[in-house]
Amino acid sequence: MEEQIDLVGKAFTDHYYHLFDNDRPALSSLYRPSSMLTFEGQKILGVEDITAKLTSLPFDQCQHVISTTDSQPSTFAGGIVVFVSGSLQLPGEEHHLRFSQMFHLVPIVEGNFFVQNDIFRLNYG
Amino acid sequence: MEEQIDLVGKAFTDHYYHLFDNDRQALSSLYRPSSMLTFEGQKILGVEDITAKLTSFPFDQCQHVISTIDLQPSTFAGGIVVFVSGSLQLPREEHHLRFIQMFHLVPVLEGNFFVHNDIFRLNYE
Repeated sequence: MEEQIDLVGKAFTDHYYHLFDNDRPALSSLYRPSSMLTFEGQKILGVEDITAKLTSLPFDQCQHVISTTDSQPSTFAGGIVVFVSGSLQLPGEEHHLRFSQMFHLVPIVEGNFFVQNDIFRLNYG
Repeated sequence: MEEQIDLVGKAFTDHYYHLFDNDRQALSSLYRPSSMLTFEGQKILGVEDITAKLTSFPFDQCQHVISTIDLQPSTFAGGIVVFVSGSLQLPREEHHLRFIQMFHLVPVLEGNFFVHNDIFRLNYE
């Protein structure tokens, strides 16, 4: 069961960052009206406002490079908490930005998940 | 409701790190048999094994200095996800260690919480 959680968590984050780096508006498919994002301390509620925030970040391209992914089952039946650390490369920037992010994934039908909780922080040295 | 979450989550986090830095054995009061800790990638299940891990570190004293705390209500009725970043100072170490940690807090009677999910990572440059 535990390994299943790790596989699911890793598959989800791979998909999430692939969308982020290649088709950011498509991230809306991963959120719902009840979803919450806290981005560098700013709280945003619901798929529409979250998508608006993520597609309005001041860069067109970026690349996430993931260093660590830790997953655990949450109390919610079938839910998963995922904790990610990595770096973010922006075009024209010499240095990568280090970041950490957590997701609380809630299952929907057909074995899919949506992001109920999302918290993102840049990590400064 | 949101401000309530912030107050409760912040109070819990302060309490957690106060115990960690001053009475580490007492951390056992914050976990249950269903609790999970992933510490630097190592998975540990249940209050007994988690307490054994946290009290076995090769240092007697430490001090956590919290930089950021982000909180959101989780799907579980009354649950809270907490995302912390900060630094950890060990005696005789010149440099602080930076860390990130997430908790998923689940309510018990009398307005208290226990840690259902706990994930800890050091942040390397």
